Amino acid sequence: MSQGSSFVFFRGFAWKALSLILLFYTFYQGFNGTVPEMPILHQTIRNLYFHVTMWMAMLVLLLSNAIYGIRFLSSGNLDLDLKADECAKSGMIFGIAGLVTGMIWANYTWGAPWVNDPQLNGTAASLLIYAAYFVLRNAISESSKRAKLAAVYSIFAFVMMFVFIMVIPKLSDSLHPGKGGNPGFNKYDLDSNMRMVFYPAVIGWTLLGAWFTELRIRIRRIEQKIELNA
Amino acid sequence: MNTRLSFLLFGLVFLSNTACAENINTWMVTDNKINVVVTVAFVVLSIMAVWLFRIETRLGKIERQSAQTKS
Amino acid sequence: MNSGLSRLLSVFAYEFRTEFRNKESISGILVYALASIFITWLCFLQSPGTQAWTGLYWIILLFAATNAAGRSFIRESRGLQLFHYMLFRPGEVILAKSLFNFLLLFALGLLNLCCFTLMFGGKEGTLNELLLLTLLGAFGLSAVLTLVSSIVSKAYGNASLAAVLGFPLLFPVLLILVKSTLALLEGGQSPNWLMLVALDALLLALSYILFPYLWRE
Repeated sequence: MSQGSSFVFFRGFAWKALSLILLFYTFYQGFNGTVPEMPILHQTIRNLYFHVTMWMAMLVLLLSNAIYGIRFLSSGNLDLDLKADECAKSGMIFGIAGLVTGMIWANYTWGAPWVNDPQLNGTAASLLIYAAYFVLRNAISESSKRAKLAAVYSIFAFVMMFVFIMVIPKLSDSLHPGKGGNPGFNKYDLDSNMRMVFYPAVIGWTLLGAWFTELRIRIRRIEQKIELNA
Repeated sequence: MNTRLSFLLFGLVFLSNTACAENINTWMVTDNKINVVVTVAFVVLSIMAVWLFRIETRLGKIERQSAQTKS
Repeated sequence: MNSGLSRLLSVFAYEFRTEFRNKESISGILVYALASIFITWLCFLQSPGTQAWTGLYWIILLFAATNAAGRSFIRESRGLQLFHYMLFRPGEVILAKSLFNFLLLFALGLLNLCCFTLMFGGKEGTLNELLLLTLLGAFGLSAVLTLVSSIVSKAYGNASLAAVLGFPLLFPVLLILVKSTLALLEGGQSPNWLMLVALDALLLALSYILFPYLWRE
């Protein structure tokens, strides 16, 4: 075992390091950088880096879930189903983080943690949709059947979530021009200072989510191997 | 997802969002608060990084061992 | 193309006959819908106002629809499914079943609309739009619930699993229906038909594409 004592190279080290660097940068520059002065929002606009990014990471993870579902249906490789499962789990964690942080912000800014806001409804709907996905997974014990049914459901689920959070908010604004267009999210006219933090923050948080997911996938592969050998 | 990592993640976003939401108009003036928030965030982020790398090392070891036994 | 259509119709006719041979299931669906409408009446005993009217209308239709269409694959035995598998193509089965469920749900919707207008009163000059909304709603509900019912039957689940899996997928279509109905009843605004038709088409296309993967399981 000469390798054991030597320095261990991590698989795909670069993007993991990038994730940490970007997150350190986000926390430093996010609190110290300048932001435009806006009514109602004021300094809370900074939660663009710590709240909206949760939502972005969730979307990327759930999109990967749907893509792994499609790839599973075309290949039948059960490892892809494992990946899809873990992507959905991490997506849920980031979705819950997005929901909780949104409630903190809404409580300070609008005076109530739960308000009628299309974004908030969208996140709650996505969480429920994927909760149903996990109910389906838990209802089936046979692994190849579970993979197939879950893949079909996840593709349907992702499209429905996309319609709910991307298409319907636009429709509701057109129905109620006065009530829609809440003062918060639509007025982020990202100036160049904020963009310099926002885009790195999105990439950093998303890579962190991918890292969490990758570790879980590798742990579960080892668990499967142990089960096979036992 | 790993429970401890999830807790650290929740801690991070809870801290940063509360900091953003608190004292909407004044917290830029009392800039000591910012330094405290950034320092705490850096500490939590470092703990998270250490955790992630520890899991990486262990996993890498097990993976290499199982690859060797196979060959 | 013509033979494809006639095959589709024969699957539909088969579905129709088996459903109506079983009189309890149809009468069960009717009683379920009527009883839930009557419970609503007992809760209000008068017109409940536009917002509650809209909400109750769609919720009752959603529950009745889940009860009716959610079972469409579950009630079939394993042997019967194998028999179908030999005779029909998957695309024909899903389209025929969706068509049957659509007609069933539209009939339920008509019943619901009649009862609501009689008991809780309606608004002058909105009946045509409400009918069309019910039609499009029944279409969307049937497309989703037929596929969900197939998933549930493969998972050996029961009707409550159909509700758990179906409701979240129906959020978008129900939200649009409720918003359109509210805008129609409150402000007389004509609904966004294009949006609804597009969403219905999307739902049917998705279940048509995805069903063959369930079929062979």
